Amino acid sequence: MIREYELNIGPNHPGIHGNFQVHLKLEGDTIVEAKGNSGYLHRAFEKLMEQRTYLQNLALIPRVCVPEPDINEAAYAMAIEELMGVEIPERAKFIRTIVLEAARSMALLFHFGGTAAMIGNYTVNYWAVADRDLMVDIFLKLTGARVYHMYIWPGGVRRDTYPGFEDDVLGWVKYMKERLPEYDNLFFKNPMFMHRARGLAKISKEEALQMGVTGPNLKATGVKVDVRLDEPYAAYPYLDFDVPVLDDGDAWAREIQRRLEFELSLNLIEQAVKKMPKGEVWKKMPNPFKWVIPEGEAYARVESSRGEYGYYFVSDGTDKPYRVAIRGVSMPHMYPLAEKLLIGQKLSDAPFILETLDICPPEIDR
Amino acid sequence: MVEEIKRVVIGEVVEKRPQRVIVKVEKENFASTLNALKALSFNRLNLLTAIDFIKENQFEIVALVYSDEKKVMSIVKARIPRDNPEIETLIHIYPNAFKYEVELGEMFGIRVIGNPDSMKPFVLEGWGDLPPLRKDFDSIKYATEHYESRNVEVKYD
Repeated sequence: MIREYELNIGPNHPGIHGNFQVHLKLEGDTIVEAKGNSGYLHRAFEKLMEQRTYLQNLALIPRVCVPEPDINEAAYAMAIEELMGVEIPERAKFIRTIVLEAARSMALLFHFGGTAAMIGNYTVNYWAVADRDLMVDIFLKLTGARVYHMYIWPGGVRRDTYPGFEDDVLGWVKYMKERLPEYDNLFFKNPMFMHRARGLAKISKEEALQMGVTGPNLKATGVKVDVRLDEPYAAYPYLDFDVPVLDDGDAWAREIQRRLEFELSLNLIEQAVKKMPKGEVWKKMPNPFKWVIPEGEAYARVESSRGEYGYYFVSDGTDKPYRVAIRGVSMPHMYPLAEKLLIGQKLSDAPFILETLDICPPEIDR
Repeated sequence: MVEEIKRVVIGEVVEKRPQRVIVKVEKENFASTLNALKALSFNRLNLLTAIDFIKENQFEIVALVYSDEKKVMSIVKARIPRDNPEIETLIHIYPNAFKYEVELGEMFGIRVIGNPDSMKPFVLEGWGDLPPLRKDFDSIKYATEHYESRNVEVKYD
């Protein structure tokens, strides 16, 4: 009888978002060691950005993270605006907020689908992808693209909303709010999910803070840290909201935390649409083909659906960035958090645990 | 906050804008500065990276540390020589520095003393060229040497 053996989850396993490998050592079906192995998705974004002009980079950056590309555009634009000393128009701030919150809720829908599928509940996945697609259609009308919008850019947004945009977005929010109880019954209140997730892969508050964990994974341990509150950007200072936190820190809490944040996102979209002023959407800047950014450095950060996402930007006063370092949220979530959490768990729970941490491999292989 | 940081740090402290403080220190004081900042409630290491200032023949090591309590981000920088670059490890201060340090070795060739995985491959397995994020690494030359041309002419300026 083989007692100890090794097993790879990934790089092409349904329990892994994107191409990423976790090398496991097992005793029976208990994990005794877990090591992440990245590099399958390395596309050298940071190097490529140094060789492209500021405008060309706009097409490159959304590709860093597929489920939620808009955060890249926002952080990139905010870093450039800080270096240029540009304040964007009010209306652009509200449009950015709507886009970012819609992108967050779309990413969360994807996430719920993935997590539920890991415990055999595939219906959630089909629902979530279909419901997300309704928002994708609105994005198509707004930006001309389904997934990679390249809509938020330095100085504001690329163009104004189309007639009827407000009704479309509010319609989707209303629809999603009606759908939420159905999701609750199917997934979040499902005894199968509760049994599997309660007490599983628990993180303590101290551990999470030590390891640099952010986002819902941290908030699920009871720490209220959110960039939208701590360093408000876009139109968040004009909106009335509070961020939910939970105390348990286990897989269940992480999922419920995201469920609460999904509801918050819907509320924020609603508020932003209703409060959106009329006016300019782009602060007129010099010819984008000849953008030259003043010398200096800036770190812009936004709250993504997974946690704090940021761009550290160094400009040498030319038309190309000197260095861009991306602060990927998932880096500390995989190394060392997931590697530690998996130890002692059952093999069948491993993909589920990785899913609840919402690890996006391109944020590690950047 | 700036005054508090000035009291514990040997180096230049500038408040760039609200919530951003830039701390420039000598390389010998880099780890001790971060240790002092951690005691000042800078509890989270957000990013550890480097910038290749090839004209000055130096690397700049940058650590972004954040205080959840004070809501301030400190950008701590130190310059090290480009020849035979080495820094001390930060894993005893911020445990998540571990993989960032491995990345420094792989992408810039900066050896991290005290990190057992330093200079080992992380995302680039079997890499035999210059560390790719150094400014003297020519990615177009590397690509033309290592990959077949698709006979599509692309002009770079």
